[in-house]
Amino acid sequence: MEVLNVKGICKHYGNTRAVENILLTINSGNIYGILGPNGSGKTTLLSIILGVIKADKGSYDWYNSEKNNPTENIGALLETPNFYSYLSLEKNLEIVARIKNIETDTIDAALEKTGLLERKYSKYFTLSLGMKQRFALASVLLGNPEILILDEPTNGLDPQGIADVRAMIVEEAKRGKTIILASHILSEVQKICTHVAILKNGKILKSGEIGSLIKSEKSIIISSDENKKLFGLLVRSGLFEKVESIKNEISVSLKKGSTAKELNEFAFKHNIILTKFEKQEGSLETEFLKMVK
Amino acid sequence: MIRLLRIELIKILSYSTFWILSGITIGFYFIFLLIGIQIEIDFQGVDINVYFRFPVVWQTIAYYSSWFNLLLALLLMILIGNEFNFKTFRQNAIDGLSRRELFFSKLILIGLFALVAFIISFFSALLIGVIYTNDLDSINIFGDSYFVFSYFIQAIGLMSIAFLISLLLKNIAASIVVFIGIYIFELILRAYFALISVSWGQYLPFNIFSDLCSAPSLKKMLTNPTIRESIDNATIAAKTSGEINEISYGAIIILAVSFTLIFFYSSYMIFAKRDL
Repeated sequence: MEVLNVKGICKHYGNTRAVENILLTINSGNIYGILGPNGSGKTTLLSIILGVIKADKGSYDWYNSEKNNPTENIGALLETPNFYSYLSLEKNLEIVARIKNIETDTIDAALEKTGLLERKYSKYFTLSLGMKQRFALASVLLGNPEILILDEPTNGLDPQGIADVRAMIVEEAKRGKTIILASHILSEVQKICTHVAILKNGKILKSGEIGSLIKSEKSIIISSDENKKLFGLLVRSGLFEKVESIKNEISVSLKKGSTAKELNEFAFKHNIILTKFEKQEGSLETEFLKMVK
Repeated sequence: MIRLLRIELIKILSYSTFWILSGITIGFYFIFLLIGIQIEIDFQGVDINVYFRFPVVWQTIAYYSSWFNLLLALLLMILIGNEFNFKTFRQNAIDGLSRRELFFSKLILIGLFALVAFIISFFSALLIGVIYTNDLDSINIFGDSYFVFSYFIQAIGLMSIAFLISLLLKNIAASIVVFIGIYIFELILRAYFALISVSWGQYLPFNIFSDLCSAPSLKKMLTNPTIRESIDNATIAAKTSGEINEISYGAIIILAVSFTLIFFYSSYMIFAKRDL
């Protein structure tokens, strides 16, 4: 089932392009990572789909416009958490509950889940940065929404907090929730997400299933005593997708369907003994850095 | 609507500034009122207590209460400024309030403030009138009570200006300064218009709202009916000759309501169009 369909969204601030012609389809149960360097338009995109910012062009549909108030099914954390500093955590969550038309007796469960039940009656301004972030997650989880939108959810958290948030996202994903996660912690996204869109300067450079994105990047690092000769032979052969010389090593990307064995045989056939032969598992980080470079 | 009211009540009832400002406003309101009703003028042919008897008391209290509307506007600007300061308009929208609901939630708050102010004024006038009027049976108690209803319109009107300014400036201090600044600017403009014999000044919004609750005429405290009658005749003659160019009370109400609607519509458009 299609949860979100983004159709050609554009947003400019004066001459600065925030996002340009964003096309995205997110289906139910997807854990969709939105990646991009700072200022790439991740938050702008999320702000638009949450109705906080108006797009200059394009549109978006939640549930194909079949639900009257789709935002009631969304729990979202955008950038820094924003709450009434003079109100207690309980009162702040009561406001969220009333907005979402959900029972206020779910407040304790949300606070407990984020380890803040003991601070229920504390004023929001008395919380530390990490606690504020956890409280924001409590408000996101309030009422068990079908969709979670998390913009840098681990901001300001200590290592334990980061691990807890990651576990929470995995747990929510297991429950079949649709999650949209903007983050620049790529290892985190790789571990959690099923799909990913990479943004740069407001444009989507690549999007799709995370597996296909990483697979396309599989390579082998080799070296020998005759690196220069080997490099020349590999380039001229045309048998490989990409051959790059990196310091004293050579990175070889295999063509679709070809195997590492063929590379080994190629070197043997040309009487070159390989001193290093290391398969490189694809990582989102390498792919990402390559794209945004 | 009840849902939006509940949300607004959660926001204001735990806000200490709200209680402090409300306490100051209500406290000063009754202190000055008690001082006012105890003023005695021992002058032959003058009876100041007429202002506290029915039906004049309605206009007296409406006029007196209108001075406290500035504090209502101030309170509103603080509350709306807070929403920008804490970025909670944005958060409320993220949590699921539509822009229309955000607008209406503040409209409900304005209505609530005006209603509370109206109730306080209404019962103050009723109580004072009952205490000071000697012969309740022979008088139409609610004769001029429409003045207190006009006060309600005035309260909403002034808060509609405060609302618009707060949305435009997004800052508490700047909103208060600009609100007072516009009021002073309008006073200067009116004085200038009067100087060059142009009557437009009376159509300016603050003046229109102010005219809704004008002070009761001084002639009312004169005990001699012949003098009152001659003043009335002189006023009628001046109006007929064009020396006094006053807007009728009905037109003032229409203009006040129109200004209020324009300010609210402008505020709504800001909510609808602007990024939160």
